[in-house]
Amino acid sequence: MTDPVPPRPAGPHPTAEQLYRARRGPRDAEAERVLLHAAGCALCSVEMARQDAYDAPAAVPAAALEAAWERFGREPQIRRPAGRTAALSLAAALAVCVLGLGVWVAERRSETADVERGAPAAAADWEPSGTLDAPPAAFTFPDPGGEPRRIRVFDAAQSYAWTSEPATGGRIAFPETERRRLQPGVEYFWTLLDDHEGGAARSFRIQRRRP
Amino acid sequence: MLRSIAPVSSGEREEFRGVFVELFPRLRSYFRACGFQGADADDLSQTALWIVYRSRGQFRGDGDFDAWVYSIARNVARDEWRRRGRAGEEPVSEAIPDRVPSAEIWTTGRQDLRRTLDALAKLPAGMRACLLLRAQEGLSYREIGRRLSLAVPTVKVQIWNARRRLRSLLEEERAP
Repeated sequence: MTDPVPPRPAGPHPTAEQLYRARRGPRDAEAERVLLHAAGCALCSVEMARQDAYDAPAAVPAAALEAAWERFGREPQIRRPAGRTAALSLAAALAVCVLGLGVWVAERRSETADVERGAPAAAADWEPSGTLDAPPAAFTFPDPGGEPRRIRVFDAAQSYAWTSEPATGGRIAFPETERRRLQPGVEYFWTLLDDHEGGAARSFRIQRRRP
Repeated sequence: MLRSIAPVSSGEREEFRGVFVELFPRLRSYFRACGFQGADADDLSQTALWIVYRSRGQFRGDGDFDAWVYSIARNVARDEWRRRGRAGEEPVSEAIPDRVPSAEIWTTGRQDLRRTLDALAKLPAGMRACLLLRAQEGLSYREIGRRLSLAVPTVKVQIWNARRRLRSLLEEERAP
């Protein structure tokens, strides 16, 4: 059974803007010409279908719209090249493995050193912050009172959030499972819960690997 | 590193809220129709709205605002396709002549062809796109679905319905 479909029309395609005007504007001779071309042209019909979607959108739930508005202008608006996602994921996984091995070796050395020195390691200042080569293994902060503290790690889009268990000593380890969830190039924030400094957040970003 | 995560003043941003609420569903719908799913469509909508926000001073008051925003969205989609190495999915390469020569229907007055085109014009654009991508471009159902964000069964049904309606329209046209 043969389709009663003509071959693609000759001549240049109308621009997307010409198509848009022809669909919505007055049906003059130019609009008729454009629409007749589109009627027999697969590529222009695809464009028109997308224009239909733009003009007659599905409703967005109020909560989703509000969340989108909250996100607007509050994070970098530049998109990551998606074609590199797999390579980035692989690079990130390798980096995590290398870092994990490094941390394991360092911790073993640290344990040995502590036994030898007989003193606990002093917690560093606020870390991490800035651009990192790999997801952090731990979060450190001043802890003069020695009270149990929790931290929260999150991104601006609230697509990622993690709250730690309470810990003392000004150091909270970041579990491997959570480290794997962090994406290169995304800015993450972390803050001490019940922070007496007014909830100030530190931020870090894992460096993207260039192919 | 302590930093603010709000790059625009809250007053400026708040003024844009009405435009955002109006445009976000339309842009998300457009990007989904372009084959970008879920969070990707949302991200691209945010990108397009950010450009609209930053460029709003360039819009001429007497122009068609919807068309202006549409052209921005289309550029965002095109950039994303190119980043993903899928530039061939741009549906219309502006002002580039079609590769397939055929009769010039505007001047030769071939009535059968004109009747067929008139009938095709009465089909919804999405349904027509499915039929023509299959019949003219020879694309697989899966590829058509990817380009139009449709499931394969939906593509098949759309094509079946398009053929049925097209024949029906042509028979009505021929009936005395």
